Amino acid sequence: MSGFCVECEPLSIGDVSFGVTDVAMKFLNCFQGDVKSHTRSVTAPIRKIEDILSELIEIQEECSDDNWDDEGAVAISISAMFEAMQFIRLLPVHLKLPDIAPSANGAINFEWRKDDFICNVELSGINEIVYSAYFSKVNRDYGMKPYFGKIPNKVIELIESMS
Amino acid sequence: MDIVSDDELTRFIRPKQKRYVTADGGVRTAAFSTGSDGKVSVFVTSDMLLNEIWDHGDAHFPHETIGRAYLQAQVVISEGLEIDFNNEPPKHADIIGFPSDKDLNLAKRQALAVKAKFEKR
Repeated sequence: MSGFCVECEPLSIGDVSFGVTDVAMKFLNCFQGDVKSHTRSVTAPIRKIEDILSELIEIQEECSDDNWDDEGAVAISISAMFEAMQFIRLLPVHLKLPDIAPSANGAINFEWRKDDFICNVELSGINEIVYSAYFSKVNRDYGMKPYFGKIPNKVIELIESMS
Repeated sequence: MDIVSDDELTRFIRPKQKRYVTADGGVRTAAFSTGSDGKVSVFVTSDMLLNEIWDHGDAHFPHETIGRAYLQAQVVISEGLEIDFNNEPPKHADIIGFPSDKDLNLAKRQALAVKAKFEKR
């Protein structure tokens, strides 16, 4: 697992012994300053970053074991959760925040929609970002790139197209 | 049983999968994500009344079904995927043939989600 917040006390393997929530909350607390700068207008019906971070913790806890869906799903790892938290933090503020869901392949799935267009990003905690945008049956854009704490411009562009 | 293009496929949604549905009743891409076996479990519900479909869901997921995502088999076939009808349990099939390339795999799942509809129980 790579470092996620250079301004904060680094997480150590030993942190895991306090439980996922403790570690995640420690990570979450690192964001407090950033959360304010990312928070959208309170009048806008858009979820706040802190709500999404909390939901990510919830998802990891609910899906931490293999077969969490009783259909053979792969567990959502702590690394995937941290990577997803970092991704949310790195999203430029002008972008719409995504909906999130656990994927049976062990990834956190981010989703943006605009009319019949849809854009997905998946992170599995293994330093790669998988993305796909669907504009029509014959107009799609998808790919996979290394992910080391910087969202690829291509992914930003696709998310922007959903705004 | 051969699956034809206008057959209806139902993926039952259970509480553990509540995030597979959008707030406005759409179906998320995650609803068609594949687990360790690379398959997506569905039931062929063509020509079934809605109450029969829910009863069928109850038979396999007692007291758990909160809704269903459904789509035409044509959507699956047009993506180059296959439907393996095994009838175990009855009316059960698996969507198979998802590519191993992660990005193309995601694109295929996304295309299914775009065309799928959600029906709340």
